[in-house]
Amino acid sequence: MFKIALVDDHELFRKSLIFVLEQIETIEVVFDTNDGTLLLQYLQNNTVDLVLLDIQMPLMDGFTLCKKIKQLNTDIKILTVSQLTTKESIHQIFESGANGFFSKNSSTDSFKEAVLSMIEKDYYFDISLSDVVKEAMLWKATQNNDDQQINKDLLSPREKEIIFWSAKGLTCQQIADQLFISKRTVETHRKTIMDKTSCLNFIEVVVYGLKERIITLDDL
Amino acid sequence: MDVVKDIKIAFILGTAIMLFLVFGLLFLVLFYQNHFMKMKRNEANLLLKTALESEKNERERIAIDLHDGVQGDLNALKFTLAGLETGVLDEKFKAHIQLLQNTLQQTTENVRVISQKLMPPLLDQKGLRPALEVYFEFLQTHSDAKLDLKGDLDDFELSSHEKYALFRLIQELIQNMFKHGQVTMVQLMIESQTKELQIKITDNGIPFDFFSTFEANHSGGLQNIMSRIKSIGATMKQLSDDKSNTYIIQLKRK
Repeated sequence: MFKIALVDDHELFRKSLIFVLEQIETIEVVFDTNDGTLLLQYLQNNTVDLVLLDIQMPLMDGFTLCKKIKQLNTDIKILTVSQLTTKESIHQIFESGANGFFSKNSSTDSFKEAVLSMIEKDYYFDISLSDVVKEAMLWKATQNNDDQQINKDLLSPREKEIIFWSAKGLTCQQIADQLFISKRTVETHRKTIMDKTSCLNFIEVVVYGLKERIITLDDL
Repeated sequence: MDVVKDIKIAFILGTAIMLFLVFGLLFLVLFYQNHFMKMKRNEANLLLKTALESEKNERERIAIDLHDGVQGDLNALKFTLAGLETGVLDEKFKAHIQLLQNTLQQTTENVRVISQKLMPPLLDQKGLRPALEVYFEFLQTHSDAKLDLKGDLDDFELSSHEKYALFRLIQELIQNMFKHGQVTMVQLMIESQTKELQIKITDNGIPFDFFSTFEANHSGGLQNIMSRIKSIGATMKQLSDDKSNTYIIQLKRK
């Protein structure tokens, strides 16, 4: 079972998301609250696979909470669910290390798609991946370029392949089929890539891949 | 003889002093009047600016309330209905839920349009040109007219107040064109130099003499346009022939 926690100060919104989520068989909503600090307490003794996070909240805002969750456990995926307009949020996601973004104004059908995409691909954005990456590159360019020494042989050929196929939008299962390895192995590779490149989310990995010329923008 | 001479001198001196006093008084009155007028004008300008400013703030507040409050609630209802719909098997109930969903979608869209009209979100974030683009797109989808937007601001920087005033007055002008002019074509051209910005709007509607209409009756819409132009220190002139109307708005920097 895939464990999900929800934080949103809008009671009805939270409850209705749970309602929709519970109709997906592989998903279990284990925790929901309107107060981020309560989730942090919960995470001290429990773990979840995915947190759905509202951004504008009175007690603790979503981005602060997101950073705290990632400090606690980088394996927890975070999908921000908000009313904010998407392009701004991409920048903020970069600052907070969230894995994806879903706009509350989107259709209910795409919500299920978003959650499933988080499970299978580690990321979800309301707009196309290449647009997200372009925004991300712009954002990175405005930030002081960290003097990270680029190490050519940091990643193994296999790991580079994983980046390539992930950037194409393939799920873990599809990549596994493509490379004749198990899904578990793909997941392990992904984790190693994130650790090696010290990236917090998949978009950063893609941006890294572009900088390293492992992939080109046309591959997306 | 000496006495006559003395009287003469006293008379001349007296007249001179009197004249001096009269002119001095006259000068003082005129000076004061001028000063008073200037003060009044400044006060009127300040009042206008404050009125427009508070209108803007109020619009902004309502737009934010709509976006954060009402839209949030509507979105929550949308997801609730979606959850209900999948759980309900009875066709009759399902049809009702779908009807609700359609109405809700319509309402959400209406609220979005209202909130955007109140305060175009792009204006502050991206500037005048992108906000106008979205406005033109909106008009394009809601009318049969052909709209055209050309040119750019380049390096000409506008303050938040100027951006807002220009956007509103362009909106008001175009709304008038649609309402009274039966236009099928509107063209907006932005030309900028370092110290001068010119916005030219042309339509193909019924000829309309802006200024004589404004003189004849200070109607709400036209008054609005003139107030906004005044508040940013811009000028507007009109060039028209029997097939079209052209307005030129100019903003100069010192």
